[in-house]
Amino acid sequence: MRSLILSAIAPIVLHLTLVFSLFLLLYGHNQPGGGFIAGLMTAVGLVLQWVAFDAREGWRRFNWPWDKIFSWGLALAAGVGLFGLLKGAFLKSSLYEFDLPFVGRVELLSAFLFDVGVYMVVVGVVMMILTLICERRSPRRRRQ
Amino acid sequence: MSGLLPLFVAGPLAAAIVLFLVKGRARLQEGLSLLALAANLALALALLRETAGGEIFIHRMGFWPFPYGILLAADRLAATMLCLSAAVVGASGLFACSYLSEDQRREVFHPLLHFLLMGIQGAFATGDIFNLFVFFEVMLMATYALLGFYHDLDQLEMALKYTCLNLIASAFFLVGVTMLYAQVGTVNMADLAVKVRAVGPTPMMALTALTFVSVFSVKAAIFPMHLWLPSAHSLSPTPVSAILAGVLVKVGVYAILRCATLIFPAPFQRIQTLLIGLAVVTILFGALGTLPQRNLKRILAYSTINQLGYIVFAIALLNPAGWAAAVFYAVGHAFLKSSLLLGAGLNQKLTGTVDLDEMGGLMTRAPFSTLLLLTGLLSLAGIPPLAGFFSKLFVLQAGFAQGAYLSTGIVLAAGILSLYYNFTTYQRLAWGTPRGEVGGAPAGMYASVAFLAAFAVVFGLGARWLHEWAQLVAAQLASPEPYIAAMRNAA
Repeated sequence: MRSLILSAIAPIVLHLTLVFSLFLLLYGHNQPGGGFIAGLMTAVGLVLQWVAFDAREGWRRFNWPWDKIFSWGLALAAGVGLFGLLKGAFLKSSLYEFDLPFVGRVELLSAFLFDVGVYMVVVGVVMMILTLICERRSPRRRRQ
Repeated sequence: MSGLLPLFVAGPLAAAIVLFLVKGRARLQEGLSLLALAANLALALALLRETAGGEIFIHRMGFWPFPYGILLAADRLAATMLCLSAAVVGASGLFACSYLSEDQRREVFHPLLHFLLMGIQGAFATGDIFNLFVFFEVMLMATYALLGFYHDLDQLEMALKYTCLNLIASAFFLVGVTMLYAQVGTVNMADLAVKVRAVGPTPMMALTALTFVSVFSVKAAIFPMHLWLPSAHSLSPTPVSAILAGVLVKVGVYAILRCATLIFPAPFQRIQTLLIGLAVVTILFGALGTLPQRNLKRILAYSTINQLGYIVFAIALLNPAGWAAAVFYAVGHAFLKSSLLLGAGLNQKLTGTVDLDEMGGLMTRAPFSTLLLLTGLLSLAGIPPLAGFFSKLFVLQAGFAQGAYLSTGIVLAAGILSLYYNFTTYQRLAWGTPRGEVGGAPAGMYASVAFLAAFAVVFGLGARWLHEWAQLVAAQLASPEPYIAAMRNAA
């Protein structure tokens, strides 16, 4: 069943959730927030599209390689951990500061990249699970 | 070596990611997977060599200070278990390359295998009880997917049961950690060891210990938490069954051993009688459970329950001789049972069945694979000079030395049952009138079964060396002070 109100609101809500999840992601490493809940937030926004329209329409709009996003996210997070190992301890965080024109002093924590990795994993996994649930595939019965 | 400890977690993780990215290209994926497994085994052997002198390696993750940060720690026990998991998972990975069908090879079996390895090795290497929970979850999530790998209905039903049971167990694990944290306010194992000792064996602490034991006994399939094991071990893909029986149940055993020696030595004295009782019942249940079975893998699964009873019995004696016997038993059984399960898979490839009633006369028609199975079955039955004999011998010795005559007597008597089921299994498989066709199998399968079965002979003839090593491990477990000090003073 397709609800007119929901399908009108869902794309707008998606933008809001994306902005808010980005905020959570950037805010995360020192304050409440972080890659995990930001990823969930994004995924919720996307799932809402599936609910508002239907699975086929959802896939038409967001037909991205979720499994690749998931694996590259995991690679990024693991890479940050291994980078820390080069500096002495696994998952050791390092801080870089540099000046950007018009913005001013910017602090970049390697933990932030880890968070981005987690974010990609969470979004990727939720969407992969959604793919599997939407697929109609009946299991075979086979006796050993 | 301390700096390399995270590689036991990060290595399999990196391998899993790379393998996931080359999904669909079966040959490349298998080649890379075997390479990673070989590197992992080499690393584990290097660690074993380094820990032999009694040194304890600690790695502080992210340089966080002692009681707050997560530590990876490797003493002799952890190094032993890491070697064991690296070898068994490696052999199973090799076996899987020729066991899976073309379609299945293009799926994500190998990435999942490496995720599983990451969870297992993380659980062995961590020095933090909450982190242990995390690695348990990593391990279980990979297992859930691997158990349902064939997508058939029986398997999914079994995987669902396994998932539900383990979710409940995980919830109880968290409850246990909370109870512990409420009493002593820490989750670091070394810090826990000191603070739990200061609190003393209060009833609440004994209850906490019991909570952990019940959680770990789900993994280690101790009565009454053993019911999931037969179907999970017999219906899962054979390389996975070998890992489940060889390594995964040992994670539960390892956790119980750590609790008994490091975290809760005094509270375990209070629950000792209960533990011994449960172990004896587990031994009897496992042995009796094999009798009505026709499925070879199911017989092996029940025999796993039987054998785990012996290991937990040895741990529950709560003395160094018992712990040495438990370590000897765990190592021997890991190689033995995984070789037998892979042997059953090889046999299935040759005959197309795991039903004993449809086999017969295999000794003349597939002599090499049957000989490999025979080695395993003889060892399982406890025939000298194979490893299984010495495993049982050391457990019984420790039991009688402790003065636990009644329980050790029952354990001794139960040995007759295991003699009986192993011989009848062999008889139905190898003797009698030939039935069905016998095909061929790739060399990789023979190689992995032979690699594992060889240990039944090596650990049997060289029982003295393994026993000396097990005694060294037990000695280190019996005096945890250096372990605690190493964690406290980690650089």
